[in-house]
Amino acid sequence: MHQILMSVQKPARYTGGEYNQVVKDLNNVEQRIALCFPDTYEIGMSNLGMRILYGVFNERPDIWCERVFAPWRDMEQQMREHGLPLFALESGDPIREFDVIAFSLGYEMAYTTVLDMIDLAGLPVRVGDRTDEMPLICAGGTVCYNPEPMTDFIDLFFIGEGEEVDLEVFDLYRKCRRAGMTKAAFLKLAAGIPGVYVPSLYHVSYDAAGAISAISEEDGAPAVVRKRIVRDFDRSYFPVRTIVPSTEIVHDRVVLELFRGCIRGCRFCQAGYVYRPVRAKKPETLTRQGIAALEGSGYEEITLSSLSTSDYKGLFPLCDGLLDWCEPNHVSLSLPSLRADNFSVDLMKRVQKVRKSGLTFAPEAGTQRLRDVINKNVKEEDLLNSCRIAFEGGWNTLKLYFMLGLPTETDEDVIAIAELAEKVLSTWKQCAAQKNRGLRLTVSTSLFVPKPHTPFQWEGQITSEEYLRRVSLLKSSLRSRAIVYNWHEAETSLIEAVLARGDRRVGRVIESAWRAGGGLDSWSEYFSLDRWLSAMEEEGLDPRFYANREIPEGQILPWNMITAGVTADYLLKERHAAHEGVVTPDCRKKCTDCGIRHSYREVRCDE
Amino acid sequence: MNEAVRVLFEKTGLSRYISHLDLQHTLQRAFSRAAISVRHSNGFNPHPLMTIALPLPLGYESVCEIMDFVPENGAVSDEFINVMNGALPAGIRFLEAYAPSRKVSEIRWIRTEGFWRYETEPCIEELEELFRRTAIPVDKKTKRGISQIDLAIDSQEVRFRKCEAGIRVTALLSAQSPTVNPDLILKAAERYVPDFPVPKSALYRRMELFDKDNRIFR
Repeated sequence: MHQILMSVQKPARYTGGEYNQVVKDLNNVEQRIALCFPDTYEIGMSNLGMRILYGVFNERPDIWCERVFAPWRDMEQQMREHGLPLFALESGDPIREFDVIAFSLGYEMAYTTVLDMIDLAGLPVRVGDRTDEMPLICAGGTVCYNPEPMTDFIDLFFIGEGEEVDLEVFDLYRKCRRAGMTKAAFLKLAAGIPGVYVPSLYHVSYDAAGAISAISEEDGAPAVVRKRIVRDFDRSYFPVRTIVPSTEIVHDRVVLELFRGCIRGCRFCQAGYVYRPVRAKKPETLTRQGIAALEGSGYEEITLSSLSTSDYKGLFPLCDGLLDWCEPNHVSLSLPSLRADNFSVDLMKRVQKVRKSGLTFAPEAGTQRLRDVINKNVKEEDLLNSCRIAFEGGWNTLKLYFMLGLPTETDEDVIAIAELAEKVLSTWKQCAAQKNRGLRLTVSTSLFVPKPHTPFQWEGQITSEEYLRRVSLLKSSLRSRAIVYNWHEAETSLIEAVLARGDRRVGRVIESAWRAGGGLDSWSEYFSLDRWLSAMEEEGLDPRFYANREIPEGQILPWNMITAGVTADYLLKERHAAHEGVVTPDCRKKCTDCGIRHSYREVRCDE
Repeated sequence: MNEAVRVLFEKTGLSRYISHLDLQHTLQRAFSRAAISVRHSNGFNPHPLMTIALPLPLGYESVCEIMDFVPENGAVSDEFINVMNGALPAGIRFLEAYAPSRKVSEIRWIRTEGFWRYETEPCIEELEELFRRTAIPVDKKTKRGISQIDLAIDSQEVRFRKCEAGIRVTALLSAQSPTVNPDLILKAAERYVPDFPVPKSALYRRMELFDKDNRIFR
């Protein structure tokens, strides 16, 4: 092992042994869980969901949950050469000996890495090729709201938040194993647990044009699986004693989750729809947990996390409570996800108290018309006002995020992005407190990807060629040399769209792409568009069918058996409102009856 | 660093794979967890006043690492070692804390042990022969290129012992100006002993620090 570790980059990510890792005596453990993140240690350890589930599972004395990450290519090669199977960090034991392998799936481009990890564990990637003696392989996470592309490989999906449902499934699995039941018999029982989707119990048929003609379920499986949520978020588990990596990771800090859900309803945003209802923690709870996590970890930075931090009602008391502790202890506080329309002097003073980092706003679109279409209710004067406050306060680094290819976008909308950036620049010239250093203004664009369970799930993605045309149009419209323009590659966004709206047949494409050398596709150095396109061709599927096609409204969607609690009618109504350019007020102004209140009657939305 | 406290610590087991840079962060965070305030530098980007002497190469173990830091209130309590050991990751352990009386620049030699793993029984006579020579020049790669080191001058008491599955090496190696990495002994063997077999793996551990008069340094 030493020899292997000395031949790879950053070996500390493969050793475990970090402060606060959980090690248990196997004599007292009845079930072993391998919690897998299909990306590198640095990415996976930065994920709050992993840290929450690790803590929740390990609170149970009879369960030992260990972490597993994807090895970087150099390590994978060494492992394959030496016949070393994928192992868990805490014990170093091969995960194929565990009871359960559970994947956290946050983004589509990680799919090939899942296959890579199952294979590296020494297990067959396909559900049908695994025996009853092999571990149960399950998955949860945001992309599982459309689980279909991964159904060939995963026995069972958790839909929604995993804090409760995962343990119910693990307990049932243990009972069934003890009773000598087969995996198939267990899965049938598990399908009865709310929030569990067992793909083998569903059958999909297609019409001649390739669209889905019917989805049917076997006896005992629900026709529609509704996501599970944490009802009392204020009292939900928070990892105060969190693992502190001994090597640098991407987000190396305490992450405090203010609330789940979002009041805004931006029509492109999957998280904004699937994480409803809005459930917040009290500022007192967060202050207490934040300080305890800092004390327990020794981290020198804390960040507030949510879909829209400036919408948090208790933001000022929370910031003040944290700063009282942070300032004397040399700990800095950062606030991402600020909206451009409610950034204030008071807020700014709090953010800059310890260290002044860059500021990012995401207007998403250049014109008011298009911002109304996507329901990003940010007004130009609000944005410029926020910028003015920031510049007067001494900020001189600003990033602006936009999407290209949003539904109904015209060249006028694209050019308006440049105009907006120029206006921000002239605002800086008028009111910057420190002009000597100049302004670093960055404009970034990415290609819009239609996501399931959003009002834009039916929309087609523009082609890569069209995206690049709009990129050049924007580039030539940006005249000032003070503005830096970065655009995200179209190639990954195309495959992301295919996988996001994929049906069961796309599983074959994922397998082909993986067999052709895929894995770590979320890393540009390992992503290959050609590999994906050849895989699609090989399997007789057309990327345009999945990515660029506008799906007719009446058509059965691949993810029809899954609901996040927002009604299909509401999504459709929002889509129509988008095309009429009509905005929908945020949930605080008025309940827009999205269906969440009926789906989760026991939860008060945004209390 | 007036008012500095010197810590003697070990870095063994899994922690050998923590790089020097990561070790600094790891120790800083351990100090915070133990609620021990380290004085920060003044300036635009304040950093904790903490220095680890003689960076340990990645993958090497040590039972004689030295770190100096300035506690915020000038001293540490009797409980310091215990408290810190409760806050450190696997493999890093504080052994002693004391007021330093000597400068780190006085460290001249490091006693190092090594283990070269072989699957066939190795021969050590030629190695012993080699280290009786009066000049053993080897190339050392540095950031500025390749420099020449004479192991006959910058190493002492180089001994080899056959053991199960390999060779044990012990040596006193120059700690600084120049820093002699124990791997250079292997390099010398490969260069001067005909058909010297490359070991399957090589493990090293720092055992003790000495000054120029071969007295233990603390």
